[in-house]
Amino acid sequence: MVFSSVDFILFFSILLYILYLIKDNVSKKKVILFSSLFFYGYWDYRYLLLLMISIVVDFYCGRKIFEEDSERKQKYFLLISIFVNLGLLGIFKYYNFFIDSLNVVFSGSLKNLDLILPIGISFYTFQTMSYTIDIYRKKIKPEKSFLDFAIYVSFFPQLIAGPIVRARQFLPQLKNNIELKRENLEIGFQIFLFGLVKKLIIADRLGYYVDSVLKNYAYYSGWTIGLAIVSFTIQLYCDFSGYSDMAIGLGKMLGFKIPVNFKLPITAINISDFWSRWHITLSRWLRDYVYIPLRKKTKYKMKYLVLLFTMILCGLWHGANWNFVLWGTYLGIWQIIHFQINKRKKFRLPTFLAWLLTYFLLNVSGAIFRITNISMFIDVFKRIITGEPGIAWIYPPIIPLLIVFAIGTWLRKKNNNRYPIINLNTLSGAFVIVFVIFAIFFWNPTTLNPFIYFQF
Amino acid sequence: MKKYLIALILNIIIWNFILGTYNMFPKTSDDLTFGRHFISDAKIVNRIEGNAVNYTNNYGYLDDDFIKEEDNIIILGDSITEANQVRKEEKYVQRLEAKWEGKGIDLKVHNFAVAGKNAADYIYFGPKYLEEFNPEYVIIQLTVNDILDSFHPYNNNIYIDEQSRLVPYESFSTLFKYKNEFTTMNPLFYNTYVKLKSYLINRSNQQGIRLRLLQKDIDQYNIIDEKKVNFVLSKLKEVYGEKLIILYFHNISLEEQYNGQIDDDIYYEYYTFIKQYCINNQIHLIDTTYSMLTHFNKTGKLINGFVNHRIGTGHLNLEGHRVVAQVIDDYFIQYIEDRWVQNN
Repeated sequence: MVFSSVDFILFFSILLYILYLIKDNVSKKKVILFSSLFFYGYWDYRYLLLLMISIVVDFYCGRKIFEEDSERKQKYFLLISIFVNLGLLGIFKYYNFFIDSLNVVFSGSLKNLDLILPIGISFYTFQTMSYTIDIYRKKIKPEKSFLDFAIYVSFFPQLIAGPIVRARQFLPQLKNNIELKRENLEIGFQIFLFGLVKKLIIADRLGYYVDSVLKNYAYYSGWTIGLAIVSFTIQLYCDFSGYSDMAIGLGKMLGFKIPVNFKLPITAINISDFWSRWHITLSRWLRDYVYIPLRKKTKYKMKYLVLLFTMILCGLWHGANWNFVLWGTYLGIWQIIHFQINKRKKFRLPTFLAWLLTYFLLNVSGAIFRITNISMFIDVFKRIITGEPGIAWIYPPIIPLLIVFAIGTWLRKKNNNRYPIINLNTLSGAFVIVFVIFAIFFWNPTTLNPFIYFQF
Repeated sequence: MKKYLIALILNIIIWNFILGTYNMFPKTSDDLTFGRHFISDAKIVNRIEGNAVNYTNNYGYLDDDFIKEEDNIIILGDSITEANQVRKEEKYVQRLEAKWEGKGIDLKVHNFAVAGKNAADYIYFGPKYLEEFNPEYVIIQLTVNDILDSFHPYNNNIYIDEQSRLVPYESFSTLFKYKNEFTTMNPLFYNTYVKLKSYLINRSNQQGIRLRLLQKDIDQYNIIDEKKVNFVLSKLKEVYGEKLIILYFHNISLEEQYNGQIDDDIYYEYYTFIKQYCINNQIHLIDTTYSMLTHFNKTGKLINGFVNHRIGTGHLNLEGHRVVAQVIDDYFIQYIEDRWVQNN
């Protein structure tokens, strides 16, 4: 079920109504858990089993890690948790990729598994792993209530495409009464609409242009392809951050706080700055559970290698394909270059130029992300650099969309990245909200486009 | 509540203006060049006809390379003529050329049809076609697509201005000028209707009841706007002049005794109107309807797709391509003879 579908709006309205009718907190939690499982099962009920395995194993391991006195046994249960989660990921997400790569290297003919990637698996496995690791590190205590833990893992607003919520951020919220407050509903609804606008009006329209050009790039002129690449960077941002906004909005409506996942990454002035703004919950996860532990265990000189390794892992998290490995490597190298320049402090670009350079580098990274075929990638850039003649085409709606996006980004930056929340009890507030609903209704694309990050 | 009611009314007024003035996202003519831009070695596999491997020419069409020096005929149309599921030598365009070769007529026929194109595209790209290809004749294949996308009054996605241009790509003032020229329905109602309709059709596609809903949907198109049809046809005539030949496909439905008959629905009104217009304005019209009907009733062989009792819908099968090539050939031979008589 996609947030932007009529099915979801119906599903969520019914859920809100049921929660409004129920007074007992435990029953409300049960309804939320059941809704989350229904939401996930609506896509493919068979994969509910994987989600359940992850919930049961990590709940059990979390408790055992806490209860056991000997460190050896604690480690043993931690390893079970990691093994199960990475095992699920390995089989369902990476198995075919490794087999294909081995077949290419050794000219073998090992068979692929006929499996569909379970939606959201990269998100919920990372979430549950952070839970057991945090218990092992004695940062949190294990959750006593299985119901609460199951809600934490399967909470539908962030189940499929994040943000990756830590246990210590979410579980304490379940100890409070779940109440539908008018203020939360109003704010959450507006954040949800904000995400819908980003996804349906901006990302999907840009996506149409990007797909049309890149599908037949050989016919288009260099600058048309360049514009498509620039559009893709914005499409990717609006698509993913739109989903995160919707998740945050839905959580807010139900009375939960979901952490922010984006802080205007398009305004970053260097690649390190970009990673502190883009998919924040993933970059922090990698920092806390991969980068810092590895740094502690390796020599100081190795720090750039560790960083590069983390970034490659980050790329691989996004997808089981070599272009994602390249994407992670590319961004890692630029981060290392930035650290080196920063260390010497001899040379600093003016902010605008630094932004422009970063934006250019991000567009190249966007191209690596989008184009899965290396030879096509080389062809595309050859056409852009040589200014190859061909069809020059701008899909008319992208001009107003890019202008709206630029103004919106500028306004949000001025407003400290706060959501544009208005008072819905005034006539102007009512007018704006009805206007946005009309805009979404009339300007959304007819066909339903899945979110890009669903594939991860 | 009162505030929201006022906000709703204000929005209805504003959105009526926005949608009526500038339909922001026109659905025709995705790009401003002609041709289907396949990747050069694109392969399209057809499940019914077997494998048809399609290669595009130097202009992006499913055809041989175009040589300007020859005497050429270009055929513009939609998926019926493009026929990307049919082997090249079996398409009516190539069959026609083979027939003429046998008769010593030295004319090269080029299939410049692209699925989904319609009359508005032919008008818009007309000057470009004439300048680039300088054809002897231009055969324009018209059918249901053109009625729904170009002639129909409910379709306000396309405006064609006095210079034969599609307005959505032109200036705001031109848009404003023509905003209500061809639309008889309130823009807000129309857009709401279109959105809900598309949603239902998309959902029904998933549920496997597409045909029934589509049929129901088509039945609602029961208005013919003569002003708009006149305008579109006159523009075609204006752009292509004496070179224009219209090739028209009309639906034929199947009766209980396995006999074909001509549909008498709204499309029939369009069909007769277009026919009459061509006669009145001396536009060459090749009407495939009666030949296809006679062929079916005589041989019992279907000519094309079969949807909800209509044998005249969907794409042509191999039999259909054979019949259409014969119809065009008959017309042309007569036409060439008439011209010879006139000139001598």
